[in-house]
Amino acid sequence: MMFDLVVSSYVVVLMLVNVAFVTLMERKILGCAQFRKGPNKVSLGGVLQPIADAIKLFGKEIMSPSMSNSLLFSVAPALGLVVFMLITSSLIGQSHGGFIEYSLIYILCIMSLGVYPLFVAGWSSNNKYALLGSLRGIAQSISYEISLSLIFLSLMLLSQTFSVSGFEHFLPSGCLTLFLSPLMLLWLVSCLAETNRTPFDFSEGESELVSGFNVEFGGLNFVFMFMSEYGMILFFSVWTSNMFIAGSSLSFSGSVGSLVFVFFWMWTRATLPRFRYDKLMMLAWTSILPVSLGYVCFTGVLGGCV
Amino acid sequence: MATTYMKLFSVARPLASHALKPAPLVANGQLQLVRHQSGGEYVQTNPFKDVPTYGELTEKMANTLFVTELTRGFMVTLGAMFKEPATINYPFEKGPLSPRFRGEHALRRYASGEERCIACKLCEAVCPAQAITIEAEERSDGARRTTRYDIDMTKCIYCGFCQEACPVDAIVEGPNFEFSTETHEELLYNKEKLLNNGDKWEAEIAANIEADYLYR
Repeated sequence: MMFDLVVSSYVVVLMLVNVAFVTLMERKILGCAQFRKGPNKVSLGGVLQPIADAIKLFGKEIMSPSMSNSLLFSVAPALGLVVFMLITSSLIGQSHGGFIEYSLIYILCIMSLGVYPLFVAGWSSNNKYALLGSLRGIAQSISYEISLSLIFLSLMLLSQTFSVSGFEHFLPSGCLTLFLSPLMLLWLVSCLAETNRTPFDFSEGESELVSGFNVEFGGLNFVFMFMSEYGMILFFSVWTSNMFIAGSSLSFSGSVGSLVFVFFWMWTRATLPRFRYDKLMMLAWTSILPVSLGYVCFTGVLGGCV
Repeated sequence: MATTYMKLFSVARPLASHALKPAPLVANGQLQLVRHQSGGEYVQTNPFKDVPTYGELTEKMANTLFVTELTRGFMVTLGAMFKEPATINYPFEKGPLSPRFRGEHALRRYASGEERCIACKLCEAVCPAQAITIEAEERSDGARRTTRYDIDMTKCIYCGFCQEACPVDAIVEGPNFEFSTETHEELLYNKEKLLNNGDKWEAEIAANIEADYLYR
């Protein structure tokens, strides 16, 4: 038990360190896509930029708006980070020392917990923009979480497992790959919406909401918020490559795959402008949900046969 | 069914009932002007087609299924990532400057070391921001020279009129644009500072004047 905890916390620490460099990667990729260089002054080619940023942000004064609910205000970002840590600790399968047997169910549970930090942060700021941003974010996250869970469920039905390590023995091949590729597209779209990323970043909405749910946050609180946001991106990338490409996040192809998906996230940000809110909801409820429901039905039958 | 809807709609908004009937927009293969109920005229640029052909349907379906439009957009940004960045590594690299660039002011001297300015005060007169202040006296050798030549660099709008007005090419705007200071006072230039600038930047200023004299 003790050993399992040590392994899991090791994974969490590695992911947290990784998150810092994911932010650097994003800035570099966005820079390249816009004919800029991105941060390149701190050490060799800007490698230590995230550390410089962290030092700067940690040194800032912690303030809360005068009429805000200061307890919730200071707790919310840390809560986000806790959710991220909980969800990443499930990445290691039981056969590799992970301690959760039904880790897929666990991930679904924690994922639905993910809207609370957003909600609490937006509400406790006592700011119109933050509240609107968080409301949008919640509505969107909840809507897309349904199809996300359904896609999840259809893969679980196919591989007949409740555990992360179950995917190691099941990798789609041949006809199944063809059958699953639209599902992966839906999965990626839902993930983008779930992490509140660019074509669907209505919780930020800087053109009308300044910075959305995190306007009032600065310094340490902002770091936590930022880290949980990028952590979720990293988690979903690792997870996507785990499910669709490699079967295990510990293999070489798993690591490369997750890097590719992180790149996809950044690439999407460089490419797509923000969606329209009603279209976002229409997409969730009238396109992605029926299709993923159909997939659940199909894979239920298929899973029984395979 | 359709007629029922039309009736319902026409009861609610009697004027709009015509809008529901698709008028023959294309006659003889040409777009027709349609008189709208409101009295304005408009041209239907994308005429309504009721039944798409089989080919159109399959193409649309293929485009949707293989997300071709999205893919094309993604490829554009991917291509952009491999292009050379336009960034100039500023303090170490600088962009090209035109010979007509209007930067920091300088007062020039003749090759003999004699200052050019003859205190005609044309620059003071022409300056739209009234940034220049000149006082003049006759020197011991009888030449007319300035005793005071001040430019308030925080008033100056860098229009270059002083340079154009000057009959002896004394006051010029040189190529230097990096002269920010931490205090306001440091930007109130006097004659000494301007002459020093002239000595410092003479080579560049002379080259610029040489390059551009045909157009002045």
